Amino acid sequence: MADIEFRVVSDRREGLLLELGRLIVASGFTLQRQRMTRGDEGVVLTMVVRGPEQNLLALEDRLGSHPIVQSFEATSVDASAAATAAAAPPPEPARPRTLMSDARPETTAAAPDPGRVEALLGALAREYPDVFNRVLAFEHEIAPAHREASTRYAGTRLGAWIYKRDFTLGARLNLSDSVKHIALPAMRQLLRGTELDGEALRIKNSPFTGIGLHRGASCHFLRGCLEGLLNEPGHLGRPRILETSCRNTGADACVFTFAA
Amino acid sequence: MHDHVIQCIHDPMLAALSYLIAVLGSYTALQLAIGIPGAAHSRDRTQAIVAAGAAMGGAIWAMHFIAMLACQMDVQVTYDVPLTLLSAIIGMGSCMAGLAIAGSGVFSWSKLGIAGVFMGVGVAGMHYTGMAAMRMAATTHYDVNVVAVSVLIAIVASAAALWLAFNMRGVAQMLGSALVMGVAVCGMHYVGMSAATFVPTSETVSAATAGGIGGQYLGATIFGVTTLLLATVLAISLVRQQRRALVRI
Repeated sequence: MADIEFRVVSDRREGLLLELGRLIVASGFTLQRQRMTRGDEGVVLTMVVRGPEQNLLALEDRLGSHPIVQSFEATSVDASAAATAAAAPPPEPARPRTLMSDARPETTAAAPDPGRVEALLGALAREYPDVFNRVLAFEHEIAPAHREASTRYAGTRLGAWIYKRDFTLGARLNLSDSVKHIALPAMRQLLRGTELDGEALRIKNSPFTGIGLHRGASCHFLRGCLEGLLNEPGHLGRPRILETSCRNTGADACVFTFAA
Repeated sequence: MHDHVIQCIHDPMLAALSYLIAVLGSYTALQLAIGIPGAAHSRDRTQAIVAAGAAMGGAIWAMHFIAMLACQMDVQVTYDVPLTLLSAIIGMGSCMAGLAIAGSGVFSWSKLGIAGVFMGVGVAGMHYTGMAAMRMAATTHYDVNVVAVSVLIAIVASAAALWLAFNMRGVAQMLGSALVMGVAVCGMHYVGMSAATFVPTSETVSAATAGGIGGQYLGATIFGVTTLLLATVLAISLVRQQRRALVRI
């Protein structure tokens, strides 16, 4: 079980706790305590939740794509410290540590490593759009068991962030127009050699190919970015994004296809 | 044909200024409008629709009366106050309806068509009501075919501007839509003016212009509207910049 503190920023107060409480319960977590304040950035809801580690990414994903959530941060909380703090008035100030902590329970082999991803994300936001050196270094450093899932998850978070920053204003578009008017320009900010090929995206110069880390399709970070960009608006559901050909397997370009 | 008609000769500098005002107002209105689909509450949505529609209607109104000041005619003209106000209300109301339709739900061509009609009719309605507000010792006659063309220009160009504003992202969304909407407003106006013929009447100037306000008063109002539009652009830009910086990864 993991104790996680979420700091959620929203522009509305009414119904915020109720909506997010439902989402937490639906993800298999229980709400331990919460506090709501109003700050410069909007309404800030701080919640400590407890639940199975393997459900954490799903919960983060749901929070990140919820329409009333503007942004959120997650940090792990030492369960014993939290229990002490709750029991002894006046309460100890929470001493959150990031999910990078070595004491964090092991994640499953196919799951991303949330701690390392959280540490990477700050650097990606600072260095955006020049993110690839950082992501490539991350791919080399991370344990092979976590590599694909972690880079894809990092891509998802970056994609969602780019959407919230640069693409929220305007009409809700269908999948085809979202690829054309959101995914394409967003990916072009990262990689100039991105083109639309019918309903698919074609990337000629993916930096994730030929680096000897993957045997099959290797652009998990880019796939994650596209997922983040297209999932974040919310009204498209969760479109399936596949890398149908990759330069890593001898194709002349990496091609991503989209299905509702 | 009439034996003697009053010519309207446009001052090119003021005509250019009228386009600039149309683009500035369109930019302001469309920047407010593209926030409509993402509004979290119906109250926010209503506020965005009202603000965007008011900015668009105000811009059309300001453009029209700058263009009327640019129109140099050999006759004294004043403007009927109630009709002048009504012209602004028509422009604002129609634009609010058009932007509300364009900004609701998932984008579709049918919505764009209906929204384009509302916006175009708003531009044209404002123009022809504004023309009806003219008090002068002359009567205005229109070539119906050219009037129809002017309305068509307003509808088609408005729909194109809405498509750019709501469907695109980036520079095309921000600048492209404003430039095209400027064409909708000015294109409609100047084609509409070419449809008009002003024929002098035997009425005395003082009787014909009684009760209207002169161009100098309109100039002050136009200045006020333009200043408000500029201030709104600046405020939108600052607020969006601040919000963008606050988005956490």
